[in-house]
Amino acid sequence: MSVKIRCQGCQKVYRTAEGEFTAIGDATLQIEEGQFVCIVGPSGCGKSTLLKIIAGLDYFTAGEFDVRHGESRDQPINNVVFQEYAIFPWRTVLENVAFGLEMRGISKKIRTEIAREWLQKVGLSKFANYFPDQISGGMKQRVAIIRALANDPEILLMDEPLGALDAQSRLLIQEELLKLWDETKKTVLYVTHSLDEAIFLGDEVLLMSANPGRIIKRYPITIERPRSINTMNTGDFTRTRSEIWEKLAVEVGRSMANQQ
Amino acid sequence: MNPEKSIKLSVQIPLFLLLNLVLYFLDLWTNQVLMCLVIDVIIFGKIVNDAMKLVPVRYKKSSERFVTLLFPILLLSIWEIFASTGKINPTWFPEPTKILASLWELITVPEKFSETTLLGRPWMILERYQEQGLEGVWKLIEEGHVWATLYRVVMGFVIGLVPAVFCGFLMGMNKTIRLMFDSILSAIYVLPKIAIFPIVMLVFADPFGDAPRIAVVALSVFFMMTIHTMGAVQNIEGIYILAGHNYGAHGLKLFFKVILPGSLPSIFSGMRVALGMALIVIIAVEFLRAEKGVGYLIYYNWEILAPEKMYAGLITVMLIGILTTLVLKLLQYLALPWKRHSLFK
Repeated sequence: MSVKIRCQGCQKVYRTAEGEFTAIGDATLQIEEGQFVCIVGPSGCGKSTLLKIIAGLDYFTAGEFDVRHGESRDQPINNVVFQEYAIFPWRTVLENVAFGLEMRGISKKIRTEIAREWLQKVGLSKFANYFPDQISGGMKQRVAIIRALANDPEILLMDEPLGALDAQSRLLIQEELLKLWDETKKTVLYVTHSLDEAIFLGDEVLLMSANPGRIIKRYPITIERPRSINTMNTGDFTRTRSEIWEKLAVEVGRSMANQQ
Repeated sequence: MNPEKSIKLSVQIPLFLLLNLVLYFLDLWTNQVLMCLVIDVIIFGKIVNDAMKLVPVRYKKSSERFVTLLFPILLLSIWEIFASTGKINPTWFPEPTKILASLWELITVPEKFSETTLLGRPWMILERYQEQGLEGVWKLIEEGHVWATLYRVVMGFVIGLVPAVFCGFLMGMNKTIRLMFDSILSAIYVLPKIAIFPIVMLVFADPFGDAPRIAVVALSVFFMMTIHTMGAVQNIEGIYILAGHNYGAHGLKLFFKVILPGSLPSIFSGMRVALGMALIVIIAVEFLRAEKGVGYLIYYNWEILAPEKMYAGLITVMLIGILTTLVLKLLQYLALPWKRHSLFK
């Protein structure tokens, strides 16, 4: 397997009128092709910033950072599923899913076909011509996920995509996400504040410290796939969770102290 | 049916009538009209409110519509009765029926100086149609007061709107341009455009023609819509721009696929406000100087002390406002398909 994303001692420092603010102190990580990697950390630790930079929407102020492109030239390098439902309210569900393809200049006939296929996969065919205002939060986020997948990027970046959902929709979409990932085998970087989610989904969990954010430890998750909701009740799962939580709790405590 | 409520109502209604009789005989309806009116509206509102609760669910919608229609009619009838019995001064507040009659008169009888009516000379439509076809009919409408005003408002609105949206987008998207023009724009924006009408008149070859009037409307619409469009662009959620970038939308693609649709809803709500202001400006300009137009008609009828016709003019302005707003809503319906389900609620 080849290395897809590599960060070595990366830093992000914002210069403001009040002085310098270090959002990311030291990000060192290595993600291999086809891996599902989750980043957990307390709120405000800079994990979303890290993801944004890897997406190419911002930049590091220091350090070595490298994303390796694949063979195919047409394939976009990455697509992001954003924290808020960043699907466009002025486009129908179908047009939203086809957005990336449209921007790449793919003909209307082909992109509609691809978008319909993806809608069918997540059971949203009926809602193809609805506008985002007319569907539920869970549906919106599924649309956001398949908007990224329909564009067939080499890397899928997800920034707390299920954070705003209720617990039940969350579970359902997590399972669905695993199924989709199994089919496509994309490289995924998934930022979340839910430890359960990270262990349930990932091949590897990266723990980030309170601000200024550093990647302090990586935990390979060896729980067998395919995973389902029942996986969360196994001894392996709870053991891993308490092991990571021990460290994470310290960081969350520091983060809360910082905010006061 | 709720028996308790219906008993309550059967007491309330006679009491309400009794109270009004007392007020009448104490001469309070003459001396304290405003107080009586307020008391009556409050009690009446309470009675209607209770009565609405007795309406069966399936008649709910139609009963609500009935109330929204009934209440204005009730107020108008009170006005009618008061004016005709002399409780309020009919010189300044003529009866609604008289106003309607004079509206009819304004349509059918040519006014002395402009020699035309509100809608041209509608009784000649058939005759002209036979002589000159549709073109002749159009000419007839064109010579009326309503068309004069409508033409100025719509022309001014469009001439102001188009460059304003352009400038607004530039200022919204580019910080340097915004910084350069922001203070100038804010300064001129607060200036009542009617105040620069004399200057605008000087600029044009024919100061007493339609051009300066249209220009003043255009100017006021321009400044308002530039500010509105700029705000609309700046208020687009950053996440949409980021998503656009991430999916490969840059430059013109980003503009047409993200920025334009993202700002259209607030541009349209700005247009609603600007339209109202355009009407204010054109009526004021016609007060000042015009040989035709609804504003001219209102002012002229004030000067010759014909209040019914003045009110008829006001109604005409309202109708023009309603008509243009409807057209704007129609445009909005066509331009914003994703807002359709909330537009005509």
